[in-house]
Amino acid sequence: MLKVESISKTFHANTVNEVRALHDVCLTIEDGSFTGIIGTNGSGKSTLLNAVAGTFMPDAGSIHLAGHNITGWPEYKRASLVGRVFQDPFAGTAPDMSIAENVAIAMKRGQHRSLQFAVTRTFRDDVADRVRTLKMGLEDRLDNPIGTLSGGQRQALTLLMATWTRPKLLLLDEHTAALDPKSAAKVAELTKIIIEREKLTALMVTHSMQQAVELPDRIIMMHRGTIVEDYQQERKQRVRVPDLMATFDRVQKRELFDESVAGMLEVQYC
Amino acid sequence: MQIEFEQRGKYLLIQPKGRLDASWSEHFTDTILRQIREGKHHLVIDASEMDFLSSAGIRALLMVYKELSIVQGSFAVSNPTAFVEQTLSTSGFQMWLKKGLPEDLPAAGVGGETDAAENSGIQSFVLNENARLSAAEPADWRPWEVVEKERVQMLTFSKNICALGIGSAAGTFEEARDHFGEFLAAAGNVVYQPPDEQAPPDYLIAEKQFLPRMQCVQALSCKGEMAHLLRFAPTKAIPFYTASALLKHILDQIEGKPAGFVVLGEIEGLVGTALIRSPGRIRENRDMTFPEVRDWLTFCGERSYSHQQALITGIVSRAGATRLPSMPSAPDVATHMHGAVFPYQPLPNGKIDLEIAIAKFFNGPPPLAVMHLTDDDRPAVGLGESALVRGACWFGALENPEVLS
Amino acid sequence: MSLIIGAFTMGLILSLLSLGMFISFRMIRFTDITVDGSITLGASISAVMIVQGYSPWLAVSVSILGGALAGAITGILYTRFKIQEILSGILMMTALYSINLRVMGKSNIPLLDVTTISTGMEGILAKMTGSASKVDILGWQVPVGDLAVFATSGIIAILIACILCAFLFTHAGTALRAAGSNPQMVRAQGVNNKTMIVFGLSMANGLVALAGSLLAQYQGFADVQMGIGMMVWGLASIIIGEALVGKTSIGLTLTGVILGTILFRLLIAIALRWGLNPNDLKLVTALFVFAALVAPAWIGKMSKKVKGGFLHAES
Repeated sequence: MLKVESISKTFHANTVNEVRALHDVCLTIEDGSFTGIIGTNGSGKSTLLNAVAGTFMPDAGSIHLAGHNITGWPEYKRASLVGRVFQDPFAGTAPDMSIAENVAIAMKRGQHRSLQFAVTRTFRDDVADRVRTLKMGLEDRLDNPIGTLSGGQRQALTLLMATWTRPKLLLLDEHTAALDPKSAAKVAELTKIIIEREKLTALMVTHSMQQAVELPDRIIMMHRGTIVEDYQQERKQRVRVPDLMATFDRVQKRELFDESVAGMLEVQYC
Repeated sequence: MQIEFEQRGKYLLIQPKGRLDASWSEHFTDTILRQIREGKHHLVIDASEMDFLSSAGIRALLMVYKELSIVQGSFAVSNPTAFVEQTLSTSGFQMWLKKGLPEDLPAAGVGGETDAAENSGIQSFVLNENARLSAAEPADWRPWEVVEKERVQMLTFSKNICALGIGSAAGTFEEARDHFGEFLAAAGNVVYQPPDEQAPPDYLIAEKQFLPRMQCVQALSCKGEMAHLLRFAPTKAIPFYTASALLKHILDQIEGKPAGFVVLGEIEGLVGTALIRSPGRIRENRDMTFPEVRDWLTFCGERSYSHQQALITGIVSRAGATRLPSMPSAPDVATHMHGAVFPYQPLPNGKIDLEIAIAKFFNGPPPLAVMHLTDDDRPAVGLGESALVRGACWFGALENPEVLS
Repeated sequence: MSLIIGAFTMGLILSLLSLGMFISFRMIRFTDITVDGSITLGASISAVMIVQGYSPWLAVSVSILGGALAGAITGILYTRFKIQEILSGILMMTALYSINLRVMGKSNIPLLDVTTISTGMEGILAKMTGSASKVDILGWQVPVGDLAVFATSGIIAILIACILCAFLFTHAGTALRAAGSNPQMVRAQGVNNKTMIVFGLSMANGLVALAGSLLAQYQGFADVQMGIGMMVWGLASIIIGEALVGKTSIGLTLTGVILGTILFRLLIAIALRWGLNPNDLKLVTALFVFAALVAPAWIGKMSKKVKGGFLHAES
């Protein structure tokens, strides 16, 4: 279970570029749930994900994951509990190293890295078996450098790596946004399959309303560093893309309703 | 495919050149429907250069034909090539086929000026000189008073009433208390916005013995028959009509007397507000200030619902003649009006009947919104007033304006 | 022949420098300038200890530790104190200049008639050749002493290369490589990439100090100035090595680095023989590295082989 308690983060505090990226955000994610986060640009959705991943330390609040208080843990230490897939297909893999070596690095996530050889014969077979489930023909190219693969293939592999040792939490940061539509669909499908098969707890930031409706079983909408909407269970099942658009619209309307509007209405609303 | 248009009198002569098949049918339909939307309701398709017509093409023609039937227009396929003639007649659409162009079609070049004058700008009709309209204010809640049970009225909306106000369709006061929202009524139909940002508007239609009834905390109504009809359509000089412009036309025609009105028209942009929390929840009489007012009202934030159709009901008077608030953009005009938004459907040209025209919308796709229209005159950031592109406005002078003072 | 043996020996010794720099520049992609100081540190520690009568093997070990410590400090300056990588190296290199003077007590220590690590090998060779002072190789008379140094350096270089190669394929080694290749990825996979940088730099400078130690013993002196320009030499060697074998596999590249260093020393030996002024040597080397970095961009075909991380991206 992930428990985010009143975390706040201001970037460039006390400068002209001050950005209140997160403001008193509370969020609890039950084990086995797949939550999608949507929001406008700068709404804090990626910042929230990065706060959980440990890319930066929040100004206030705490984060608990699987019974640990991970608030002060550095990014690499949280990796023992957290698997991640990034938006940039180049971010999740080491391009000069082979598929098998990349997977070997992922396999040891959160464990001691010994002086034993990383890619053994049995391990290669294991990798081949799992890579075969991606249905991309990569099982025959395990010794090729990952840099030679397409964005979609790399993203699928990153997904496999992130879930190789079953993480307590899988973080997906707009992981299909940088792919061509066909690869994006394929990676989205793999995401759903893997999360369901491994019964993972996942948190996905997405820019695609369609994806938010189709993949996760809970949708959180963020705006200006706060959670403004939380679709769960029956409400989530009922929600469709136009509903989400309408909610965005509503949130923005509320934003535009300022003191001058109130003054105007005071005279005219009767 | 190339499509050429020529306005000849009341007719729009359309010359499609090439194949009307699956790959062109969508483009063809869109192009022609746009013309119908702009008020061209008499179409003649000169098919002399149409080489081919597939079933997809027939379907496109059929869609155009159906749209024209709604607006009581006319449709003909003239001078068809042998292939087109055979295809249409064997598939049962021979009624569209005409040997030549219509006899009353003016010669080429004399053009569309006559028609433009007929169908653009403002046209006035007197429907019934003896029609009478009487106003009433059966419920008179004011923001932000506590809603008292005794002052809530159950009102029935028969076909000769147009009204606007705040109410709920629930049967008893207790049930209605948490659901009071903006409504408007016209010709036996009521459209009502529950005070919930996420809920779509609901609507009630008079049918057989059933008449819509509402628990109203606030209501302004006009009972009787509309004496006048105003048709408005854009011209080169006037691309759209603001609410105040239309209201001034109304006042001009009835010598400045207070009037009740119903407008049906294509939206250029609406500006308004709506309740998102029922006034029934107010615990004590008070002024609602920012930011708390945001929990009670939502404001559109931008000119909204462009190209949809609006149904607006309201009451207008010269400023000071009634206690209606004056419009900031036209300080001599005072009004209170509510607007409902429906997905676009074309309106027939000319003198049309209020009840029939409105019934089409209530029997069509569901309404999208109901709001209290406002005139946003804030300097620099103001959204201005609501405006319509083309449509119809029925109105009549009130015989008892004193109830509004 | 002694010229060739000399160049080969020098090449083998400096290939340890190149291997060390291969770790810092190529594996963790850190432009490490500490090298110029740590090679001298290795030389000075060894010289002082050997002169004082310690076992040359102990002296070599302490030198390696000294170099490793210097590298680690550079790494900590960079990771912990967030000083730019070049500046971290410059700071450490500058500090090492004084440290080296302190270690040696003066600017130069000669190593004459002392026991070096090749002494043992000399004994073995002496037994094999029946105590002859020179050995006949392909008709050339080669002093046994030179041959011993050559053999010792060769064994050490090959051994180190093999160990390094094996290490890079272990779990720890792959993590080190990945840390250089994609720091964000290794963090996400639970590796502290900062630790990896410190570790990598310390390993690299340990090897560089080893090279310094062997160099002092081969040359017969340690000099506080001896490190100047070593980084560029190492760089030139790596570039030549990669051009020779390409960058297809790690084992091959490490071999290439060793061969490249030897080839580079041979080229220098030949150039000096043809009358190149030794004072111009560093200028020539710098020009060579410049050409090797820039030429691939001009000659499209070469680019695939020599392309590396030494040119920063154009913005």
